[in-house]
Amino acid sequence: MSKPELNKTYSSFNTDANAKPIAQNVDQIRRDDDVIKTPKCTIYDIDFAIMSYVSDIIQPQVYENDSLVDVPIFYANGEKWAQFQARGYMFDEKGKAMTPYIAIRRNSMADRDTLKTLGVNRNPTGNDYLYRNKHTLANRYDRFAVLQGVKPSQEYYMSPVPEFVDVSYEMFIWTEYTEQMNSIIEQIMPLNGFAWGTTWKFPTHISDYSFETVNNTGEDRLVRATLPITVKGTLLMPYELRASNLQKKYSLKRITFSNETSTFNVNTQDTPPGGWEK
Amino acid sequence: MALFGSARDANLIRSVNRELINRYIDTEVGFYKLNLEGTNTNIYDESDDKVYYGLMKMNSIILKDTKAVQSDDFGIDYARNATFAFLRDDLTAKNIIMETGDVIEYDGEFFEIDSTSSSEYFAGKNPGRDLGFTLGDRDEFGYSVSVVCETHVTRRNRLNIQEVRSGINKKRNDIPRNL
Repeated sequence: MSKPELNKTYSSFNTDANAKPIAQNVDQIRRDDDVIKTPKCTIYDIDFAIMSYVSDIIQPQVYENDSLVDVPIFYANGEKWAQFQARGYMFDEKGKAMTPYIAIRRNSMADRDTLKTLGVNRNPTGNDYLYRNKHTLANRYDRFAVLQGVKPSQEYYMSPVPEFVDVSYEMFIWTEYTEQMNSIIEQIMPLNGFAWGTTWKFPTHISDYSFETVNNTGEDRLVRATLPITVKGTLLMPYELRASNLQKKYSLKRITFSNETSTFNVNTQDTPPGGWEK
Repeated sequence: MALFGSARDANLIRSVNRELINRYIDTEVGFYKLNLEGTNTNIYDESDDKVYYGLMKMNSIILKDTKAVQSDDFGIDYARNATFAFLRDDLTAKNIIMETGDVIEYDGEFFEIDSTSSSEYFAGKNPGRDLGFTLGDRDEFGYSVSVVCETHVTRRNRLNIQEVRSGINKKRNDIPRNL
């Protein structure tokens, strides 16, 4: 049995043929001749903010054998070569890991409850942030424009409203001693609720701290802690539906009003040939 | 009175074992005995500046397991267990008592002792605890052959035996960063 041909594949009242957007010149403004960077704040940026804040701003340190040791921070479950070879300083000459260290992992991401969007198919027209570029190449001083009474054209950039999300992380701390664990927690805890990040910054909250100390026979004693972290993130993707999220627009230079007579030279006064009732 | 397993027989076994372990097998390990007087613990019963007596070298028969690599959220690590067997008379002669928590160095790894046992007896008798011998009813029989230590590889940064980090260490009396 042949597959039925569908002429309506979207949740709309239009058929596909009518649902296609009509290309208009006003929407087709080239972007290759401007130097405006498309704004973006991606999931990577949120991850980077958390990682860089812990490693560059907090920089946890502990005392070990009368020496002050920086605690390495890495993203959990990286590639094996990166975890082992690139971070050789975390291991002894036989490959045994040397604590302390901190691993961070992203667990989940959800729309922020208080700032949920309707989630309709496309952003309605006009639901954008509007930025005006102060300088435009098109606005260079031009005597011809002055003579013609043409107003300067403003250059606008429209960026969609970002998505507001809650991103959940877990921070795994592994130390050799409970005293070292206390020290690391004491360095992190006061920063609960701060905006974490070095470039992008996001409010970050740590909820319950869970500790685990295990001393099984046949293995080293483990002193570990897990910190659930919630980040109030903002996501602005550079592309949506295969189109750049940043749209460039120009303001109108001149608005001209005219009527049918002046445009088409229609005779609106005389009776048409043969009379009105024909 | 048993026919075999007397002290003379035990001497034969002892000398054969000594020759085998010390002259033919001759696998040396280092032994670090924890110095309890010099090691202070906190309320968690832990110490980050442990003190050991000097290295003692002795021969051993070793059964080393293969590496078991573990990879989880906390990163990559490996575990290994090993069994070290020593001639008990050699330890007695050097006045060495091996206990849980002492450290054995072998093949570039440091093994923390989980448990020790000395229950391998020639003729099934330990002369030190043989009731017939200790109560004076009969001569010495049997022979406690070995001390066997069950161990696991431990992280050497917790031992304070070797300098394992280089280039970033600061003395405790240095002012910490940001102060």
